[in-house]
Amino acid sequence: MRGEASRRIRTRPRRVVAISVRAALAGQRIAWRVPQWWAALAALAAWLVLIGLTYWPAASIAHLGHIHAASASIPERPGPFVSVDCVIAMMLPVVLFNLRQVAIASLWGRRDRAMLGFLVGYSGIWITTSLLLGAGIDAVAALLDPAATIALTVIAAFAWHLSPIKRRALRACHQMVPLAPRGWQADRDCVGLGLRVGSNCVVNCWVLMSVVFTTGHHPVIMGGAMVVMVIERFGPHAFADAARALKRELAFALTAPSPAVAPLL
Amino acid sequence: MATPSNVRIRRDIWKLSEQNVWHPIILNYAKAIAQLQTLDASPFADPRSWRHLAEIHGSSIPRSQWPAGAHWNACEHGSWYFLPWHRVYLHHFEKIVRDAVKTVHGPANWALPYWNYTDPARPKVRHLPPAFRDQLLPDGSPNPLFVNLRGPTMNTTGQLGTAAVSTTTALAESVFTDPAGGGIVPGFGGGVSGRTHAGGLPGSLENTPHGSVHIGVGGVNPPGWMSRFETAGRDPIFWLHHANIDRLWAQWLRTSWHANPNDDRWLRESFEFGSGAWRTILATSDVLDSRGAPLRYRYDDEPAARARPARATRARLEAVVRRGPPEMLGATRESVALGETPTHAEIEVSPARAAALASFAGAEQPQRVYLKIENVRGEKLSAGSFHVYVNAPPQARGAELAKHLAGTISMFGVLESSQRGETHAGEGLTYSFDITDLVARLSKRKNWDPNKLRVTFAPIPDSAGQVYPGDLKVGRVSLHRG
Repeated sequence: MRGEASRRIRTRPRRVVAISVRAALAGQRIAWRVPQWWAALAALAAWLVLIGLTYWPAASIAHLGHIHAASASIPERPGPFVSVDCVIAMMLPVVLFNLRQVAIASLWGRRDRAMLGFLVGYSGIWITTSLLLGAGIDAVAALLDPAATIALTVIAAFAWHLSPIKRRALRACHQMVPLAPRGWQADRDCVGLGLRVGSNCVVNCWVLMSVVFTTGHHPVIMGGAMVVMVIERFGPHAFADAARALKRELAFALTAPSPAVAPLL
Repeated sequence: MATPSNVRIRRDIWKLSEQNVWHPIILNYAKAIAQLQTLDASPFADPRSWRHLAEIHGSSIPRSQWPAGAHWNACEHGSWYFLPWHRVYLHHFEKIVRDAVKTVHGPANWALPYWNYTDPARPKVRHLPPAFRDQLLPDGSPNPLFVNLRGPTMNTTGQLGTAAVSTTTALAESVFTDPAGGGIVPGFGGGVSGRTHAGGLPGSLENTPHGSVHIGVGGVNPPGWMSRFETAGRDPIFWLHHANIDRLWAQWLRTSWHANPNDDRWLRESFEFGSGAWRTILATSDVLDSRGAPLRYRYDDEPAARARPARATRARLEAVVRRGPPEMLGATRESVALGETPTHAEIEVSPARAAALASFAGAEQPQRVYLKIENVRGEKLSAGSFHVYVNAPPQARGAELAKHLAGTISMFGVLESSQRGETHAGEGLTYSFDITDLVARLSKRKNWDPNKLRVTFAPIPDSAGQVYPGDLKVGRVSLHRG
């Protein structure tokens, strides 16, 4: 028994090393094949914050945002923190593909910086839009009763869905333009691409976003709007495909053999 | 089950022409087209009408004027759906033509011929088949196979160039597509994309010979019917050209380690054509076996009895799939014009940083080198295709220059994809070449500098030996490894 315990104590460091190596390897593989992984995590975190703000209004963070449960009344507009959080939660999942394209089209050492540049341009457009949209909805709400405002935005969303302008904008959401490889020009081009894609995204989705505004930014409504945007861009199987891709990436990250590190495992 | 007797055979148009310029299969095709053209009354609502069939590929008719149920302007290009979409399109077309052949007293088992323009032992096959160059049918009536709007001399003595019809690069591709290729690995069949062509890349086959034959037949200045998405289907040679592309897909699969993707996203995608009694809706998975229902055809160069499929080595397939996207090593800073004379671009190359990481990637990590030609845009073509050379000495010509050839880019689709609309974002076309072997050869000859690269674009004259003033530009040229 003493020998057994002594053997276990001697092999513990090796196990720690093996686990550490596997974790580092998995992290490197994910970063290589899914460079936009941190944007996906940021979107997930933003959703958790939104849900927290919705269901724990008495918490100390409630003063950061003016979120109410969905109701027929038009609520106060969200504050700046919540506006940014909404943009991260709803819009990042829609551009994860664009981020991956930008990363792969950049030098290795610039990949994260390139994606950030894109997000600066893209988010900037959407944050500006959300401020303007909020003001616009307020103006309409002052003239109509709340139910009519909501109905108007829903009807407008359906009508906009059929318009050729929206179809052209949807197609342009997928665009990729040449990016300079280095220097300030590379940063300029990444931000510029974010602005272009963001502008088309706004043209595509602004009416749908007005539905979100008129219904109080409730996570359920926002989630529904995000689902509509993702399916519109990537097809009806988008979420099933994403789940399969996630499973595949995790499996590869954690289990693919690697002769370079096998002696350490 | 498909038995040899109920499988129709698509035949080589030139072999038929050698028996008889107006072989019954060819004559029936012409008569059937004449029949379908009688249904061409605006707004081309009859799904059997010639224009309706052509508008499916591409259409400049505003959507508000489309007849009910029309599935127009739908061609899949720059996408891994390129081959299955066109296979279903050809099947839809062929069954309508076969029905028209029956009305002109032709056989019930008529099958669309194909134009094999790549047989090096028969250089005349690079000409249009003679029946497509005659203005009159044997009975003296106008020949519907003849189209004026083609490249100069194509209706007389002109022929496609050898580079335009080459299948070497396409058939040498080892994968249909590479899902982890990051939009850089072209593969045989095209990059993974959605139906909106998001992030897609044309496969090697789509670039050459598909695109180069389109533009070689249609011409550049002015671009004829075969040179434009919107009008290509109106030229009767379009269908024989695509039958050949479809045949090359079957030929590629006959190599034992070549396989179609086993990806639900590709297999489940369905394509709809026509309407009413002439509606076709089939998924990719429905059309992978051309001998089975509902397609029931094979090409005359395929064995009559289906060979037992060779078992592709699982290890090889897995090894090809299990890797990450190649790393970009450098790119041009400015756009590059594609003009009437050769133009050049320099790329400053950085050391690969992912190479060390790639050693952690998996059991087998291929280190391939790719040259990507991005966002080729323009409104006026100077040439239909361009050769792309790497590190070519300025004075090199002929065989010496050919040693530096990375590939050929065809301009088919550049004009349309440069316009912003419902099917394109205005970003132009992008191409990619695997230049691993070229780099190895250049390194051996001490003509490879790991720190910089020079790329040359040389226009290929048309069938009349001409190039033209144009405004084409390459947005960026980039080098990738992995």
